[in-house]
Amino acid sequence: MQGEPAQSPGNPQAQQQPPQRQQTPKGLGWLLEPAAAGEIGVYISGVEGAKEFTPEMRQRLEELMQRLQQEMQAVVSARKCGALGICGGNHQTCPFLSECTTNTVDCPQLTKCTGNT
Amino acid sequence: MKESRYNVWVERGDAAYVFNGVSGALLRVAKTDYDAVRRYLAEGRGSCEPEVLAHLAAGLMLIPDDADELAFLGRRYAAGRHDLSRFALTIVTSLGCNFDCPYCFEEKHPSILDDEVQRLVLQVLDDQLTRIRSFGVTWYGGEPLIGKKALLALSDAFIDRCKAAEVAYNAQIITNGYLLDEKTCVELRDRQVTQAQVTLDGPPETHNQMRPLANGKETFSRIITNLHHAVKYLQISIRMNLDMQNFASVEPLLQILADEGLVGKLSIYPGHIIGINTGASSPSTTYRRRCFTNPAFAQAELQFSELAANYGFPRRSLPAPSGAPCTAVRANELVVGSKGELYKCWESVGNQLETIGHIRDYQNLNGRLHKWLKYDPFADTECRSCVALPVCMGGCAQHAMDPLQHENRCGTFRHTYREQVLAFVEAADSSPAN
Repeated sequence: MQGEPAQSPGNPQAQQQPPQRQQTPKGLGWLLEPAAAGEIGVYISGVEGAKEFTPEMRQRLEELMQRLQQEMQAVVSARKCGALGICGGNHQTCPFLSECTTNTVDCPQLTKCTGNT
Repeated sequence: MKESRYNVWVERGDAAYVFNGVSGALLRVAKTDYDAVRRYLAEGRGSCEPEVLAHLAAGLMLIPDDADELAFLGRRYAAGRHDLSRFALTIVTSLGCNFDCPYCFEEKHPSILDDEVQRLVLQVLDDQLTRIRSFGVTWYGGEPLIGKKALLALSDAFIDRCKAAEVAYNAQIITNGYLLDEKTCVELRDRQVTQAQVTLDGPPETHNQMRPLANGKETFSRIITNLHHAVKYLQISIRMNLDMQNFASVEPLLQILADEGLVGKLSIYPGHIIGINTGASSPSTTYRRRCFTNPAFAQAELQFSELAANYGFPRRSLPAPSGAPCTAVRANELVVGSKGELYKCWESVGNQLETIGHIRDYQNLNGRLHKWLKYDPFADTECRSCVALPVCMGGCAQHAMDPLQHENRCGTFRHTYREQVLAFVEAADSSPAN
């Protein structure tokens, strides 16, 4: 075996094509848009000339959106975590997280921490 | 207001473009606006279009004077490392392989994942299901399709359990493609394996030298045959492992794939062959072909991408912002060997000196785990000052910790960021939509 795959599950942009630009009259415009607060950006590559999604593609997109929704919920929830709040938002100095790094992958401290969300 | 240290500016025609690694955004501004912004940032005076400044701020290209981007990235890395809402396993169903590639870094002890290890894997998943929202699997080897029986059985059990627990499930496979017949493709598709990475190292005369069967026979034609049906069921990504000797084979391979009618049906990208020598008896220990240095590979990748695009294969995008970049440094991810032994890094598979424990006792791992979960790219002065940090987050931890491979920890963006941004911009400008 040699190397990692081209596209990791957490990297939805990995194989994207340049999206269509949205330009103002002054030439100002995004080629890759940043996510606004509360949003995530997903770019979808396609076969050149294709005008619509196949049913299978639509289904995959639905699944992707559901998954993203679930994962984003986790991020949003973590911000509300009372334990994380103790360290002022700095995860590197948070006593819960720093203790976790010296433990196993199933660290009870961290489980407790995320369980407080 | 100050400029982000992670901006990459390029100019083309009457426009300037800025990519920011923290946001992953790419903005086009008129050259006159670009000049005004530069003047404003350098001299603290002059007038800029408010709309331009607003866009630059939205893309994190302009940030508050007291913003600490390194601290922000540190928090992003920690959040990715300690994300327990997602669980992921890389599972070696067979450490044995039907190929005998001279550059392979694995020390193989042929064995198939047996029923007892399968039972233990499911036990671990059951432990996790109460608190995770998604579960991801990478089927890995050796050659994972040699262990197809275990792969299919585990997949069925994973899907059932995740469905019952309302946990999202996804899977991909890294395979040499030789056993990827149509029946297998259907079986994989039905088990929610959506992506497959298959390696071709050149046209037949090159590929068959670099990736022969264990008995020395050729593999190219059968893989090509398999790709024709595989693309109907799976997203196929072709990896071409490159060194200085097979680089001339890039275009002949692209030509063959084009002649086979595979353009638009799969993607292709280059892999960097690295002469890993861990002291173990893996084939790569005696690999005598000439490997690219990291900067030279970055240049080779640019040429590869241009050639592939000329043949109609999709361009890879600019790198996306990253958290903790791989299984090795994410707390809730593991690599499971075929005998149930556990590792953190894909490159460790088969190396007994790198096992971190056994799946039967996965909550009691040994001290080798610490080096992965304590690895800190922000302690590396080069990483701290590198424009690529937001998209690579230190790159390969395995290589970073090895004095002989330290330079190979980096992705290519470090060396060719301007060229990559410019190539993306040129592709966008020349796309029919524009």
